[in-house]
Amino acid sequence: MKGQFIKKYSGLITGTSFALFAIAYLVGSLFIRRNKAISIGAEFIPELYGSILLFLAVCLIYQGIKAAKDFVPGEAEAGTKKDTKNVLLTFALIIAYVVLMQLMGFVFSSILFLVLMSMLLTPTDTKRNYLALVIYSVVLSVGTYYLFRNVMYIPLPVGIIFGA
Amino acid sequence: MESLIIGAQAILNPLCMLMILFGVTLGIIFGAIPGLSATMALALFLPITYSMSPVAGVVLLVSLYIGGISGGLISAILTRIPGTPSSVATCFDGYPLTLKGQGPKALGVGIVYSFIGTIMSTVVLIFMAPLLAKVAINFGAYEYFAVAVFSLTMMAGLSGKSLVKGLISGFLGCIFATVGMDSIGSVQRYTFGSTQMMSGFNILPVLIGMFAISEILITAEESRHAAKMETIKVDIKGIKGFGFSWKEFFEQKWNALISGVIGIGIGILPGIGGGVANVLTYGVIKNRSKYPEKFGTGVIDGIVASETSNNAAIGGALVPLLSLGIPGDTVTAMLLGGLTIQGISPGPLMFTEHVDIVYAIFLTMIIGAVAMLFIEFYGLRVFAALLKIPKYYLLPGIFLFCVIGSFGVSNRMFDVWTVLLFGAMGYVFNKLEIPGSPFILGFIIGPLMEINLRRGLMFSQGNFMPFLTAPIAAVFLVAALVSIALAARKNIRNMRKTA
Amino acid sequence: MRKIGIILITVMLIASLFTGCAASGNPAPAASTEAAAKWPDKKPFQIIVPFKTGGDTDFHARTYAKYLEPILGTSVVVVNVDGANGSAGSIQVRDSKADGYTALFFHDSMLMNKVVEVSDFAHEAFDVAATGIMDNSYILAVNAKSPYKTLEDLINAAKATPGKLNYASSIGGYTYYVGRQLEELTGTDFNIVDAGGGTDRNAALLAGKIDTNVNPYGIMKPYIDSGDFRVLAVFSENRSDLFPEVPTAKEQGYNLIAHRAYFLSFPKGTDPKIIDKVSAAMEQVSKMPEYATDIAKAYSVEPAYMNTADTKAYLDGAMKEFEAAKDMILK
Repeated sequence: MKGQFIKKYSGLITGTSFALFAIAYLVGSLFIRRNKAISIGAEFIPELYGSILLFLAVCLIYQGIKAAKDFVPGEAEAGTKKDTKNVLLTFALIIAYVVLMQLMGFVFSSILFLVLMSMLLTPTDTKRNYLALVIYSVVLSVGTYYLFRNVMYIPLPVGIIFGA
Repeated sequence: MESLIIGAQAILNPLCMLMILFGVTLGIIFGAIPGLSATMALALFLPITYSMSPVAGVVLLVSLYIGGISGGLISAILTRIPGTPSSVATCFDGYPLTLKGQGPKALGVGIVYSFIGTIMSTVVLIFMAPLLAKVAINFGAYEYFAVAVFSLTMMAGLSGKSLVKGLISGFLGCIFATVGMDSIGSVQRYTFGSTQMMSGFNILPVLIGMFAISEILITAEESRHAAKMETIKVDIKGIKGFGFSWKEFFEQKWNALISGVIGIGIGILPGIGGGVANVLTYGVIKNRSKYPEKFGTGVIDGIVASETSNNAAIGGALVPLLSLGIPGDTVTAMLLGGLTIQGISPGPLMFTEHVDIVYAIFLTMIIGAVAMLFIEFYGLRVFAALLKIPKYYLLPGIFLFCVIGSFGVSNRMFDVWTVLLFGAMGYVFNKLEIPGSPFILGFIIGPLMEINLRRGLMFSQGNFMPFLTAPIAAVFLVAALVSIALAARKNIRNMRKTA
Repeated sequence: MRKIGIILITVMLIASLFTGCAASGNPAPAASTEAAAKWPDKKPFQIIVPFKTGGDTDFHARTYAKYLEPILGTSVVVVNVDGANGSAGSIQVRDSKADGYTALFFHDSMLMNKVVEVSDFAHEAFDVAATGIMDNSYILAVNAKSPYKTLEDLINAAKATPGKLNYASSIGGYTYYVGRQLEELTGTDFNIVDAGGGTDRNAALLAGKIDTNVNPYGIMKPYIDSGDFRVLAVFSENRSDLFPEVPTAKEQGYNLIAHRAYFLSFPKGTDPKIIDKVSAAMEQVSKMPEYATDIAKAYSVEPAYMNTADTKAYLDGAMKEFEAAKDMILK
């Protein structure tokens, strides 16, 4: 039922979120330092963009209301079940990875990330080959670290813990 | 002709040939891996050229440039993740073709038209550079403002089903580009007092996020359900040559020509670059097509538009660099740095004082393009075989490179966080059916419009009239109006049709 | 259950890898004085350039690095951390460990950034080592087709038509400050416009969109050589040896000096012994003739070394000058 509700008012919800964003952006433009030397200052263009976005958001809301009126509740789409939980897990893992990188350095966090991420993405019915996975993760992490840090001098984070 | 011989003498030696081969190959690799880009390849190798001879150095850099811009098509077509900003639009029709099992054909088209784009722009560069430079120099703030406004109207053409959603995407692009130090008075905007935010969002992490990370998240949505994860079947044995017929080749001649011209034009104008060329050209070709509704489902026209224009932009960008000493984007800025360090200052005397360098560049572009054609042709089978790697290995690996690539932009973690932010945004866009390509246009062109509007007003001391009375500016503003009118008419018609 | 086991094994594997590395790679840090005496101890010395690869700052840092390597006996790695007009890189160095292996290569813009409120600190947040190059090649040029032959011609024309002659510079940048100084000094009023960076301004001057602008000689060199631009003055004490035909502004009766020092600085708290060692090495480089040739060829500047005390005094002086002119710069 909940899915149906979101579907019915999707235009309305999206439009309202963008409208709120536009208003926040416009309010933010009030805090831009004014400069008298230049005829139109740094705040002018943000004000313009903000207003346009607000207008577009209102259009979207209008379309959304119309669509909601004409909405015919249909059958839930069969077959393609979207796994939102997995998306959130993936994103959380990515964030954890970046945080961890600053603490433990590139190599360690990357190995951990590659292993866990692959496990998240592997289809449920596929038999996992853990040995291959670990080898893949270690080789890729250590290899790229060596290549980019020691050969191309990109100072990838070594981390606080091991960075002595 | 004499100059050509001087140039040939400079580069027709084993060392330079090896340099071209090495540069193009490495460029393709950097281009093909999402996260790494042509810009990064040049940044990494620029310091190494400091200790080379001027000719060898410039040959290496130009080869990396050509390979890097072209290489992006491989991952764009095979995985829907563009390898570089220059091949975003290649995904739109390239990936659907791969899904249909015609991946090698899509790759073949991309490779051939990358080659054609490079050669077209090289010819223009050789024969028309000084002339075009004279035209380009007359572009001041008023003219650039008008060009920017005209380019922004292309957002409509890229909008897809809903015009409103397309425009929202475009203006969000403009909005996110305003974050950071204002380009004229260094005024801080939306930085929330953070120094990291002051430099704003760099285009590369933004694009990596929008197009690569969001793709990984979308895969995560379906990956658990094995039925959807069948590896795409690619028939490698069945392909002959580049996988498409002469008939198809000739059908694309106008598309290729128009895309090439637009690419060269965008390349010449400083500040736009290949990142916009491919998206903008895609919009133009789609608009003039007899079957615009098929775009995005896997027609080769879309690949032709994107790949011809992004490589054509290379030659275009070299026009103001060599004849005026003006770099149009980060890549040409690095080339300028590389030349300056060798004691060669591009400018009015470049074509008389440094004929050897100039023709070495021309010849490198031609030989480099041929090398690219062959390397990618023979690599085709290897690339297609990469698809056999299961996605649950491939995508985490790609993410690793995205992190390295975005970190390497400025060697700071902030850009990695930028990738995450825009990755989440790209995913939400996808859910809401908001197209991503207008966003790129807004993100790159928005600042260009603003800075030139404000510069122009400084020149005219607050008077708006010169924007309308400068002839070139007026032409582009009128064109912008026409473009808006056409989009509006089309939209109204569509509404009637659906109503 | 099996999953957990695998993760455990992975973690252990990695851990063992790291302990291995730590044992061989990084010897335990000894007492700090001892470490300072041994510095650089074959460990790579990292110089942060707060701009992108390919610019003037990057070039000067890399040229220095090339000649410093054999003297210091270790690899000198240049890393570009750009953003916020140099502030992002400065912050990174300010916050890194004061062990002498990370240093910042920057110039006067560090001070200007504080004045225009882009950053909230300047050289006082660092331990300054030494200045390697003093760029005093700032010149004022006009299009060769213009009627102005001397600085006085230009000033007189500006006086006759106040607010009409276009002087190009980025608002809040160093050449903006120079232009404002010129206005104050001569009682003229230019129309100060933004026409992009140095190379963009060349095009604008060539097309006659702007009337004049101030830039380091190296940036305008191609157009000066081709005869498109005419140089009216160089803003230095004495004429340059590299372009002796250009008169100084001073000898034309306008006492205006412009310069920019490229200096190396360390995070606060770095051992003075290390700083002395680096400064001495930099002095050695500045005396090398091949070094002078390199920088003259690329940017038309001459080496100029200033030791730690002089650099500090120079920066303090410059900061005072900028602070005093704050209203003028921010107008």
